[in-house]
Amino acid sequence: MNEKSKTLLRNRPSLVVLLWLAGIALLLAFPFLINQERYILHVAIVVFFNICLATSMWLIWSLGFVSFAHAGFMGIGAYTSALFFLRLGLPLWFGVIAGALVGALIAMVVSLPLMRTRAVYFFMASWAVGEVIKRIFAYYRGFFGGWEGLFRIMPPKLGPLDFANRTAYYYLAMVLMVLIVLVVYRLNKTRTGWIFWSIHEAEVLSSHVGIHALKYKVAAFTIASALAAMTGALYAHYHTYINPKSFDIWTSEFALVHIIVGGLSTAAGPVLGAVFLTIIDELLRPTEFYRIVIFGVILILTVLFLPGGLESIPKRLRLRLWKLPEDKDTQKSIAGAFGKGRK
Amino acid sequence: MRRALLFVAGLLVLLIAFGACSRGTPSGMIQDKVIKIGGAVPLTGAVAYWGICTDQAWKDGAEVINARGGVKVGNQNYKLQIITYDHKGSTPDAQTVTKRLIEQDKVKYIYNQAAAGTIGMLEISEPAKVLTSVACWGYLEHYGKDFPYHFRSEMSDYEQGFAYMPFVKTKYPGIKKAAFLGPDDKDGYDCYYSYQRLMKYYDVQDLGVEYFQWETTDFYPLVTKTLQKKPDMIITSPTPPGITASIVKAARELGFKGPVVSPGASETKTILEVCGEQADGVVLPVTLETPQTQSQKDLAERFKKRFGEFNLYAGNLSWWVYALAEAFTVAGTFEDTTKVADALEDVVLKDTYVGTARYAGEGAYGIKRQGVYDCYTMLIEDQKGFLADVRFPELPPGY
Repeated sequence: MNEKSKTLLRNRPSLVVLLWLAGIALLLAFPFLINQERYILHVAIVVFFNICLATSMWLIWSLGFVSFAHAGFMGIGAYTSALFFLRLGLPLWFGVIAGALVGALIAMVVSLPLMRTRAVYFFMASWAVGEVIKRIFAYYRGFFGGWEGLFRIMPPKLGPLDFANRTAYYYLAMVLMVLIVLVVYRLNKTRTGWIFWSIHEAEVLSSHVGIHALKYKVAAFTIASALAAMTGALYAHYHTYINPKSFDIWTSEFALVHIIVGGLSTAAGPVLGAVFLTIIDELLRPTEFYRIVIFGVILILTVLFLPGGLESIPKRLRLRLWKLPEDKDTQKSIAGAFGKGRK
Repeated sequence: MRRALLFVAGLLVLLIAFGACSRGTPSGMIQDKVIKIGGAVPLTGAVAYWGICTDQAWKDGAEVINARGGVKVGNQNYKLQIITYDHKGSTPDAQTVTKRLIEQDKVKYIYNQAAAGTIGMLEISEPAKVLTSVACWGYLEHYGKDFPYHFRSEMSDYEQGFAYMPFVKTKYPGIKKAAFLGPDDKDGYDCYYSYQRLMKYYDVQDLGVEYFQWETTDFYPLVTKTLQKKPDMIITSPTPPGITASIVKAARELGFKGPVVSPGASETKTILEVCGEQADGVVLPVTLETPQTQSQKDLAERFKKRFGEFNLYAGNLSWWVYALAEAFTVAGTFEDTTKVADALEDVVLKDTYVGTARYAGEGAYGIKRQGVYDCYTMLIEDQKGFLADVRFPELPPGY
C-alpha cells in the first residue's frame, strides 16, 4: 500500500464524522427544502421506519442470523404503546420506553432457547415466534383488538408542539432513526461488535477462545428487538391504527431485502437499502401491476451487478477513480472482502 | 466497475420502462375540465384479482362517460380522470396511497377494494371529507353514521342473503338446520355474524361454525366435524371458487346431499372442474355468467375489447362510477363532497350489469350507504351452471 493510500485511510474516521454531520444537516433542512409537502414527508417518515427496522435487524445479522420474528417485536412495541395510550391515557413518551422494555424482556426469554438453534432451524423457529406473536394479537380480541386491530392511537404532544403535525412527526421519527443507527453503528465498532462478528464467522472457534457465545447472542437479539419495539411504538402513533397483519413475516422479509440490497457488511447497508428500495417502490406505484415486476428486476439487477450491495459503490468508485491501492493483488483482496462480512 | 456501470445502465432502462408504463394524462384531458377520481386498489398480491376487477370497472365506466361528453355539473361538462395506485392489499400501503391521492393528486373521490385497504384508508379519508366507494363486507365498527363519506357499494353476504335465502327455501323446502364454514380471520368472523343474523331471520337453526386456515388444502377433517352436526345446508363465506370446490368435494364424498351456498365464489367453472358430478346443488349468489340484457352483453363485449378479458366480478362493480357521475349532476357540484354524498344515497340506476342498483341500509346501519342490487343466483345441476333466480333482495322491514 502506498503513502497516499495510507494517508487517506488514516483520515477516514474524520470523513465519516463529516458525512454524519452533513447527513443530519440535510435531514434537518429537508422539510423546508420540499416546502413541507405533506405526502413527501410521509414517504420520508416511512423511509425512517424502514431504516430503523432494517438496521436493528442487521444487528442480529452481525451474529450470522436472520430473524423472521423481527416484525413481531416491532408489533410488541406498537401494541404496548398503543395499549398504554388507549387504556391508561399515557402518551407515546411512556409507550416507547415501555414498549422497548417489554420487547427486550420477551426477546431475552425467547432468545434463550432460540439462540441455541442454528441455520435452517433458527429460521424456522424465528418464523414460528413471529407467527405466534401475531396470532396472540389476533386471538385475544378483548385485550389486543383481534384482527380488527386498535384504532385512534393519537400522536403525542410536547408543550406547544403537537406531533399530529406531519413535519413535527418527521423530526420525531428522524431522531429515533439517528438514535438507532448510531447505537448499532457504535456497538458494531466496540469490542462487543467484534465478538458478534467473530461468532458470525466461526462460533465454535470463538467459544474455544473463551467467548460465551450464547450470552452475546442473547444480548444482540435483545438489543435489536428492543430497538424494533421502539420503532413499533412510533409507527403505531404515526399511523394511528395497527393490526396483527402489519407485523407479519412479510414485514421482516422486506427488512431483510433492504439489508441484502444495501449491503451486509456495514451498518450503512440497511440504511442505503431501506432508502433506495422504499423510494423506488413509491416511484413505481403509478405503474400499477408492472410495479412488482419492475421492482423484482431491480432486485435481481442489484444482486447480480452489485453483490456487495449499494454500500460497495463508494469503494468500487474509489478503487477505480482514485486508483487506490495501485497494486492489483491488494485491490483484489479488498474487492473480495466486499460482501463477505467484516474481517 | 463494469458491473456498476451495467447496474446503472439497467436502472436507466428500467426508469425509461417505468416512464412508458406509467399512466399519462389521456389525450384531450389537459384541455378539458376534469374531475379526478383516485383508485386505491390491490393490483398485486393475494387479493389482486379483486383489485384489478374494481379498477377495470371504474376505467371502463370513465371511458364510456367521457366518450359521451363527460359529466354535466351545473352548466359545464367535465371529463373523469382516473388515477390508480397499487396498495397490495396491505393496510400501511393503503394509508400511503390514500395520502398520495388526497395530498398530492388532490382527489376528493376514492374507490377501494378489500377490508385491509379500506380500514387503512378510512382513518385518512373521513377527516379529509373524501368520499369513498368500496367493496368491504366486514368491520362494521367502521361503518355507519360516524363515517358519512364512506359508501359500501358492493352488496355484502348479509344483503345477498335476502335474495338467496328465499330462493333456497323455495327450492329446498326441507331446510331447517344450517352450518357455516369460513376462514379463521376477521373476514370469516364477520361473515359468520352475517350468517347468524340471516338464519335467525329465516328461522333456520344455526348449528355453529368451523373455521379453517387459508393455507388449508385438506378439508375432510373440518367437513367431517360439520357433518356430525347433521346440517340440511352448508354455507361457506368468503371463500373463493377453489376452496368452495374443495369443501363441496369433501362434503359430497362424506355423504352430504344438501345444498352448499357460497356467496363469495362467483364462478362455476372451477367448481365444476374440481367436483364434476359432485358439484350438483351448489348455489352461487351474485354470479351472472351469461349476460341476459343487451346492456349486459354490450358491457361484457366492451370489457373483452378493452382489457382482453371479462371477469364478471368487474361487471358486478361496474355501476359504481355511473352512480357517482349521476350524483355529481344531481348535486350540481363535485367540489362539495357532502352534497355529493347526499345526492349519491338517493341515486337509483336501472339496467346496469346487476339490474337495478341503489343504496340502502338506513335502518340497519344508521346511514344509507350500502349498495343493494339485483341478485343473480346460479345453481349447478346435472354438471351445468345455470341462472336459477334473479331477484332484488327482499330486505327486512326497517332495513
